[in-house]
Amino acid sequence: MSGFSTRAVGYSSASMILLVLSLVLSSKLFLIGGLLTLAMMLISLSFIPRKPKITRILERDQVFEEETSEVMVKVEGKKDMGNLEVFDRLSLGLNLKDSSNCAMLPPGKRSFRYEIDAPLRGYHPVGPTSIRRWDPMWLWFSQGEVDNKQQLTVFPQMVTERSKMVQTTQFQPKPGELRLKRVGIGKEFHSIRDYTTTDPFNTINWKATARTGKLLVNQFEAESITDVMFLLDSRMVTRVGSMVDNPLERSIRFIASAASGLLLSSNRVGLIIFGSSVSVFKPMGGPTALTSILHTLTNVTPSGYNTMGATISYSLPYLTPNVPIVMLSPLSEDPTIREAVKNLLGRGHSLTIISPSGIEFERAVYFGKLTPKYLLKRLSRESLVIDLRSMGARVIDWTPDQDLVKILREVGI
Amino acid sequence: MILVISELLAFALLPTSSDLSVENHGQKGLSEAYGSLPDELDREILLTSPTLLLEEDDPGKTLFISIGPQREYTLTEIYAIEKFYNRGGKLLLADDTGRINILTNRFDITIIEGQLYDETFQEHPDLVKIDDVQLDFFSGFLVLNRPSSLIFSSGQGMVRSSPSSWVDRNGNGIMDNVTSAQGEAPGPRYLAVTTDPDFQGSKSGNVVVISDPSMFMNLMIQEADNLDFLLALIDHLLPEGGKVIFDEGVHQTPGGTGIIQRATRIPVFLVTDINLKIVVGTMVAISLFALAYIHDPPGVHRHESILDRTGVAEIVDPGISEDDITELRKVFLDRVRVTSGMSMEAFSNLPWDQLEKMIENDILFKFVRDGKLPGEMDMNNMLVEVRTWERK
Repeated sequence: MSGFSTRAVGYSSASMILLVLSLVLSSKLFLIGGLLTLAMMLISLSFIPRKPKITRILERDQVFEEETSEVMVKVEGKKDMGNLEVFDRLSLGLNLKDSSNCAMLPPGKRSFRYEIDAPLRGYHPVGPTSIRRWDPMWLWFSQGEVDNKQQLTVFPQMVTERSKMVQTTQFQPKPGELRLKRVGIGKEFHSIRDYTTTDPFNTINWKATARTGKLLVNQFEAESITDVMFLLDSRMVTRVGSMVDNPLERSIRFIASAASGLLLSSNRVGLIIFGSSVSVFKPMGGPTALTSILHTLTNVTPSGYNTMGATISYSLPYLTPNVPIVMLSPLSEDPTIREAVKNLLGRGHSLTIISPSGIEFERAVYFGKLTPKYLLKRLSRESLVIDLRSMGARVIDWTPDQDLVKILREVGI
Repeated sequence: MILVISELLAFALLPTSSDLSVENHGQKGLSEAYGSLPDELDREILLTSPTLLLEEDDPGKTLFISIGPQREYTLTEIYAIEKFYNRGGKLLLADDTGRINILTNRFDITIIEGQLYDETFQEHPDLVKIDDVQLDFFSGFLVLNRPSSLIFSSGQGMVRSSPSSWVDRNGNGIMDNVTSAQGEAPGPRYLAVTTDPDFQGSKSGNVVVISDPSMFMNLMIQEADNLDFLLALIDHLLPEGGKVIFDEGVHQTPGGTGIIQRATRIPVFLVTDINLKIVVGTMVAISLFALAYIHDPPGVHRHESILDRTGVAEIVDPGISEDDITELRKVFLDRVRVTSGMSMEAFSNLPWDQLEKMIENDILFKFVRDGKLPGEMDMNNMLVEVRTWERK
């Protein structure tokens, strides 16, 4: 790709005008001016620097939200005449904190630094680097790209230290090996249940299968303290508000923080994400679990219109009996919420619903104005919350002004 | 400057070798005549077009010489030459083909096609000898090479053939057709004419037309007093000295150099022709506007973030309308149900009269029962009613 700058158009226009004026007015002065301008342009255009070598060094390629990473771009080329415009492309989800990712440099051995701020989780591409090679007068450029794409992984923000300080009420940690009389991956037999596609073959109880004519698997007692299942609503409707602060992002930050705390206390954490599809991650513990959960959460994209009712129906076979469930949903735009909650509670799960109120985030978009539609939606939501509470679910209404720590304390994880 | 550059360029690139060219050192060239000009005179060779005469600063002291043109002058060129003449310019035109008539007719002079033969010739009938030419500025003999003749209606003849001369109009080499008006009857013919016989100074223009260009070529220039005649004529036309311009643009240079030569005429036309100036100026102006219009400047490299974007889902339209009536009704019924602590099943089986007692508000009850707004209410007022409703 190449192109002319506006300056080039200006110069060429000026020279053309001078030449025409020299013709019309038979003026040698204008002629000299026009020819000089043209000559300068031609001379400048004959000096385009050669392609330099570009290397980028990322200070850190994995950060948490609100953290920063410094980037250094090295340009190595011949000391030609002309100019280099180096632009290191960044993901739209990243901010520049310090300096600029675009630099105008004379050819040669150069480098520049900039600092990026990562306020939003995700796998953010850094690069490729775009180079424009300009002539000395910035008239014409030849543009190319260096295929040096890297990835900056931004994990959701976690409040780990504080969450440890929070006294747990539901899930009290105890020292030593504990048998919880719950299904898990321990050695002691617990019960038999129907086979699901994700069960390993060595758990199939062949005798029971032969007796009943359908595949059954053994369930064993868990050796951790407890399992906690997080149910994350990632439908499109959860992305109301700003890109950085909306029900989905809050939910993800909550899960990351809570999961970190739970895993540190030797618990196991499972995750169900629904949006355009339903993804179930069975409870897992150990040192790699947090990384796995963080990567899963990092990759969540708000999309789809799956209902909670359909999600629960699909996920029930994967849910360990009586496992406490923490649901994160704005409880909006879904007529099946009551039915889904009733279904879960009916199966004996303790249910905590943390609901970052979508309409409150939307209200913030309208600068907090009390609009008729907002009032209507709030009335509807209030009724729903009362209904869910009356069913036995613990509902925590998370308004935008409440921070994550407060909710973590309230939940008691 | 353009003129100088184009002339220098053409001069450097085009070693002309056509007949009657001042650069031609062969027998048919004019190099000897050109070289014999007095040093006091400035000499220029015009390689492109006589339209450049429009740019001449001092036409009164300038002599334009066109010998043996091999193409006709264009109207623009004729205009330029005429204007040059009117500004006091001097012209020496020599042709035996009639190509130059388009120009000489402006001065009431016409070259007659057909070779002139005379009983007085030198060695060969093609070489016509003119004895005893007597002019104010010259007296002597001339030898012409296959001359034609000319006629004129104003001005004065300078050189005339003998009474026994005749013009071979039909080109068959014999004197026939002597009776017709355009016949070949013998008689004196004019070979050189001047438009202003009383020409004295440099203020007024003067044109001399000679019906034989080849009398000045290298082969002939030393014959008789041809060279002296040329020098005397130039001295007569430029008594105070000045500049002599030889028109080489009318000589067709063959091959690639000829193409370049013809191409170099374009900028000269652009420089000198007023109509072309207007056209070119307009075209350039339009082109510049078009360039400015279609020019797509390169985008400025700047990091753009989408983090400040916001999204809405439920409150897309902040107001409520008749379309929200079903939702408002449902909201109100939920509110009544939740307030009374009833299950959905029990509430759905509730009779109307009991519901009316629970609501205790005629407007709201009508709204719930009919599913439409009472006449005096709009949606916003109804929303206020619903919002402020409380079970007593």
